[in-house]
Amino acid sequence: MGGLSVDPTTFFRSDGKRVSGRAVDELRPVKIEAHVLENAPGSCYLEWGKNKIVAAVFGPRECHPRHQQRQDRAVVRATYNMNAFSVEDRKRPGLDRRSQEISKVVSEALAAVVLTAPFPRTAIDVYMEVLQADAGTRCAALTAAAVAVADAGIPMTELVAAVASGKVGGTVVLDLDKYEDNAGEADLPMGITSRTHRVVLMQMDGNFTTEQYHQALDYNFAAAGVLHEKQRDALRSRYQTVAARQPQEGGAEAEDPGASSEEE
Amino acid sequence: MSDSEHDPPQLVLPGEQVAISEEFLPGENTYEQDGVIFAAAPGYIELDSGEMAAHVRPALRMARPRIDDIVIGRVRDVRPAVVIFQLLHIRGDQRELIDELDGVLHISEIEEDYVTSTRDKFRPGDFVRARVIEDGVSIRLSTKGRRLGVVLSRCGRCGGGLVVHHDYLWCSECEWKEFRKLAADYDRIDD
Repeated sequence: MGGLSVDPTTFFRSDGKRVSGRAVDELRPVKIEAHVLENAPGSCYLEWGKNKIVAAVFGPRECHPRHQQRQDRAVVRATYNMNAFSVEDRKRPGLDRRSQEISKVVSEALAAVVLTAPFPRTAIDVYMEVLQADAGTRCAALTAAAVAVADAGIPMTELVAAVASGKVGGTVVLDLDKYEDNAGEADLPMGITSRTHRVVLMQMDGNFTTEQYHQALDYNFAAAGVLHEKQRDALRSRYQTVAARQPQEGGAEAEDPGASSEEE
Repeated sequence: MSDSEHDPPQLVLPGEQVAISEEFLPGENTYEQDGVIFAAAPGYIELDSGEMAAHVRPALRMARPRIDDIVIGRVRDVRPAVVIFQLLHIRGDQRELIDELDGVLHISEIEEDYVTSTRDKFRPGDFVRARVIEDGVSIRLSTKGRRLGVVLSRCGRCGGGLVVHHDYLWCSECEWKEFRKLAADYDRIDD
């Protein structure tokens, strides 16, 4: 942090592009694949620049411990975890303050879009594993988690994608990578829903001027649109492969022993 | 159920528009907001002109038993009026049932004939194939049918395997006789 008077040349090349070669409003390449795990009802693998994340969803299932149950709805419990090998120095495994905070904000962001009322007294568990981290993992994790929830067939009002804008060398840029984040002066991660464009996650580090803040908002909303399209593509291609494999969902039931009652 | 045979079913994702509330009622896996019906899960649009309801048939449904599903359960408790099962598997669904789901079989749904005692038909620990007849808050089951009933059981006295003898189960270890509502394919289940 700090950034009292950072030399802009550390972050921008002579042609105005960033050190990574990206324009100020350019996302890192994002690749999303839905349903990558056999044993979870819903899952997603996401690569976002050098970030690599797997998300898996279970439930709605019985809620333990029972005091977390809600009589009128399901609780959404997201767990964010960074693997020991996800960063350059070994990360000490287990819960820490940062991962607990991310788990909390992501849980709340997902709870805002998941229709929890049809499943009282249950829990929807979302696990997000960071395999490789390169700044912006909370946004990447929420983006992956939303695809995994949809893949699990859990009813939700809309998708949600997250992206951050930050400030380096006094300039607002979209989607900080690790090099920029480590020296960044400010950071504004936001989770934005796909249809109503509601903000379901918003945090801020550092300081923006009003103009910079509005610039960051604009970048985030524009980038969220791009991410939503990638999420939809991932889900569409997932379901197209399913449809190709089993053209009639009812087909399996047609020849099953349910017909036994008629046999008698 | 649907009138959508004319064109290939349209895939929708959560938050995408399914229909207009003026034309249809919000059906399964949909929600309504500001006069528009949106999809709540990835699936295919199904417009039911009979009920005037717009449904989304899930491309992949949740691992949750629905009406007419054939399920495998294990008897947890045999009460005078009902038998309680822990559901283990839905037929045709590879996924594990991750919820601890209980199913209830009322004495009147055990078989077509009059049943005097549930204990003549099921014992705790039996593996049973049953059909789901209600999938609301509680999952109710029926074992009426030739292929529905106990598919695997153990001797209540010595724990040995039981074989079918006429219309009862026989333990060759301790020469013990037990009565069950048997599925036609007891001990040689193929699914």
